[in-house]
Amino acid sequence: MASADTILRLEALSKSFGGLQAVRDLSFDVNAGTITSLIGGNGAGKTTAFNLITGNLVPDSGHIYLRDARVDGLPPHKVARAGIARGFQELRLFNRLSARDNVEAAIPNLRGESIIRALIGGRELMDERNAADARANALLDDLTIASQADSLAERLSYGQQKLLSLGRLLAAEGELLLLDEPTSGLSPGMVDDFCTRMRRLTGNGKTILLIEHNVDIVMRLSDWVVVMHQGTKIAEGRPEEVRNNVTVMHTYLGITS
Amino acid sequence: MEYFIYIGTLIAIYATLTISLNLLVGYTGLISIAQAAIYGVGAYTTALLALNFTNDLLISFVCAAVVGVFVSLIIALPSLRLTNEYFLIATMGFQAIIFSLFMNLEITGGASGLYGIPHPTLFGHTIRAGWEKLLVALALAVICYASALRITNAPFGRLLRAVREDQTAVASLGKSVFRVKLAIFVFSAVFASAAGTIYVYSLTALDPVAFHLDESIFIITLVIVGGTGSLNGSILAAALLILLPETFKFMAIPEAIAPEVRQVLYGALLVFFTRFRRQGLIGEYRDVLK
Ligand SMILES: Nc1ncnc2c1ncn2[C@@H]1O[C@H](COP(=O)(O)OP(=O)(O)OP(=O)(O)O)[C@@H](O)[C@H]1O
Ligand SMILES: [Mg+2]
Repeated sequence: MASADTILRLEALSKSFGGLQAVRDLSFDVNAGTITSLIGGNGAGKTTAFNLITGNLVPDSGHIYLRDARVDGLPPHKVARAGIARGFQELRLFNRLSARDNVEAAIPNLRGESIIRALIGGRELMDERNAADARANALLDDLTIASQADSLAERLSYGQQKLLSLGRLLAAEGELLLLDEPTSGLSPGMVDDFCTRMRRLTGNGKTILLIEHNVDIVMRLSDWVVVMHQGTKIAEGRPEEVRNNVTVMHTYLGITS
Repeated sequence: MEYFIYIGTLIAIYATLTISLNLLVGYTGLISIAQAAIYGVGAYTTALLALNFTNDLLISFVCAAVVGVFVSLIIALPSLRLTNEYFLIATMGFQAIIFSLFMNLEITGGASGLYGIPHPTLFGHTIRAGWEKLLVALALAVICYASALRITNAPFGRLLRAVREDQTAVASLGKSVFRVKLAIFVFSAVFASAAGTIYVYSLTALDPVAFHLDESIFIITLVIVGGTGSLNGSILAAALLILLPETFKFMAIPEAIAPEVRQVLYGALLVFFTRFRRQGLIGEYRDVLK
């Protein structure tokens, strides 16, 4: 079983699509309070690993534990309720909802989201709504996009959309955050900003599992690095260990740099 | 005068049907082609109840809604887990099955339908006059509008729109997409079947043709012409599209071909709005399907 500070454990996960083994016998642990990076070239199977963890795909074999509870086989909304919040590579914002609504839609356990309670209405719901507005405004403010709160998500710039996607994820209050290339396509200044935010999040008790292509960020930010190649894990360790690993240099770092 | 009261009643019935379907199509992205079938289930329940047990209006509403919800669950459970395109096709299948039952069962009176249905009673008072029936139809439309407004303005409504925008993202936030869809589908069925009650009592007869696939397509047309995601648009479209063919009577269009002309007109409107003005007359969203 998982050790005391292991928050997520993958055990021998495999998944194929027809003849293609997208993930093969993948095992690793994520320790609570750390930033663990999942790296590998295009098509290595990183996003598929995320989809397996979040229940968007069901593994062909293998198990996934969140703390001590098995989460493989659970539907995505139950995995999310168990404490895993996910950001998508393609963002998947609610495009024709305002930025504020995108964030508020993520707040857990809103009574007003029950149709019966919505019909009955009442003071309680007003209070809840005010609290949700305040929470969303605070998050948007912290993310420097408060001025866009009432704009439709599709109207925001790409950088703002990335920030909004992070805001929605944070509003969901998961303890484990799965981030799929949160800095891709951002300006260097914004990349730094994102790195600072991620560090701050682990400081506040969150754990991050990060898919990241930028080797500098990986080396600078990660506590632990897992390297994938053609669906399987070829190395893991502290950033400097991975950097000096000969296999990794040849199969991954050698190719990209 | 009777004529205008009848038209008013029809508009109220269609406003109710259109609002309740708009909650599915415009807000949630669920294009259901079974709205006329559920409307029919409410109508048949009411008619059979009135012919055999009671013509009490409130009991009729409750029974129509209960049976309507039951049938909507039968439709929803296999259909709601499908992607939106396949949902559309599955509901069309249910529409065909249910219509065929209306036409062929003995209890539903087959192709000739049911007639000789008594006027309803409300608190012991018999509702006989057309204007009284109009008031009942208007009351239902107002209740439908007010409760639709309430739920769409609540966080529940935001969840509906979020489901329309991206179901995968909604699930990733820990919210059950299936539950949201089921809730709104059942809610919609309550009002569609209650509209069936009004239909039966305003005509004191029932013709199965009123619940054909064409009727479902007509209600979708009203949603699209009014504007997906706009409750006011639904009312506007119901009023305009019911009144429009009535103007035929004042034009030189012969009575015999009027129904065909009407079908062509509605079809043309559906094509026109889908092609050139997808947000409808006063809708806010352009594209329900992505
Ligand atoms: N749903 C699917 N059906 C079929 N093949 C898939 C599916 N999802 C992923 N694949 C394939 O599985 C392999 C792994 O894809 P995956 O998206 O996990 O890679 P990745 O490591 O995230 O790559 P990238 O860095 O480009 O995002 C690829 O060859 C991809 O084409
Ligand atoms: Mg990927």
